[in-house]
Amino acid sequence: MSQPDIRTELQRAAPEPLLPVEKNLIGFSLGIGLVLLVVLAVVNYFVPATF
Amino acid sequence: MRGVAAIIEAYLIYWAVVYFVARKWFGFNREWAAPLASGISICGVSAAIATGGAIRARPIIPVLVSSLVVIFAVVEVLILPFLAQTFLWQEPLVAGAWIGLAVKTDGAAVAGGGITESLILAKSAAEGVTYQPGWILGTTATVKVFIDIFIGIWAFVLGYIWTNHINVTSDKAKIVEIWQRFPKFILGFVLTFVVGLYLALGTPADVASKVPVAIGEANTFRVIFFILTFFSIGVLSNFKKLWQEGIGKLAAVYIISLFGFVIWVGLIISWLFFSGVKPPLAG
Repeated sequence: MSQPDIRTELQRAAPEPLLPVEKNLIGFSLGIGLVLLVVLAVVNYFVPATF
Repeated sequence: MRGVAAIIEAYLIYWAVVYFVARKWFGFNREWAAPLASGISICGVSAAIATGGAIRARPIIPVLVSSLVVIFAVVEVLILPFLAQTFLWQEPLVAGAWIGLAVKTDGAAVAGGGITESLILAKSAAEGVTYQPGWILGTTATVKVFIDIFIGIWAFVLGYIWTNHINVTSDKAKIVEIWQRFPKFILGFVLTFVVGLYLALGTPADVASKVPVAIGEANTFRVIFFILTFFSIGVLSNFKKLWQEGIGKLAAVYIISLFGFVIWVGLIISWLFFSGVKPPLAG
């Protein structure tokens, strides 16, 4: 069974523009992630966890 | 709360940025970019395989991504603990969490946590502060485990998106299609976690008191197997062959992602949530 030539495939790959669903996935992930991190950081600041 | 912060960082921030970098800056298609993003962002090998299954990538893709992740993990284990000792020895748990967030693949992360703990405990002892052992390594392992347990949910999310919006084959994708894409080994993760939790919560106090001794015995084997694992990786890694197969472009994404933001964002988040929290003093 022949192995796929990955190097050639990567060099010759046709451009695949970002679909709207991919832009949404990236945007919502980053947005939700940053907001949640800020919320957690604020909670951690005012109610610090201890061992 | 700290575990949740690690999950958010790996899945929502790292993944999105690496996927964007791979797609937009390096021109990778979706089949390559998604497993690559998961491998670099989440927990390396298992995440790349889970994502490859969820988006129906060809098997060679998660295999190549996994090779890359393991090689970089070894490099990280050789560098990051010494940086942690130099710059973070006064914040031991920040160092432990940072290793857990920066080093991909569980084995390498825990090995990195163990090396970091040894280095920092030695430096602290030289400065007259003796911490109890186990806390830095425990922090690294806990952060990593929290990240790992969400692989299944992330694979489900990606499977849903790819089935319904990217590889649309019918008017409405069937649930069975998402189930077929779901990596079944994740169920083993969940089962192991549930059994472990049950045993931990249901263990009588007299038995629990003997656990540390048993863990100490098991640690001997852990160290031996870690050494054998990384020795085997070194022996089997054929860099020339990997380069010929086009891994250079994948490595470029990894290097830019790792040194461009993964270790820095990991450091900031570790500092935010662990600074000022010290392990108990020995004795």
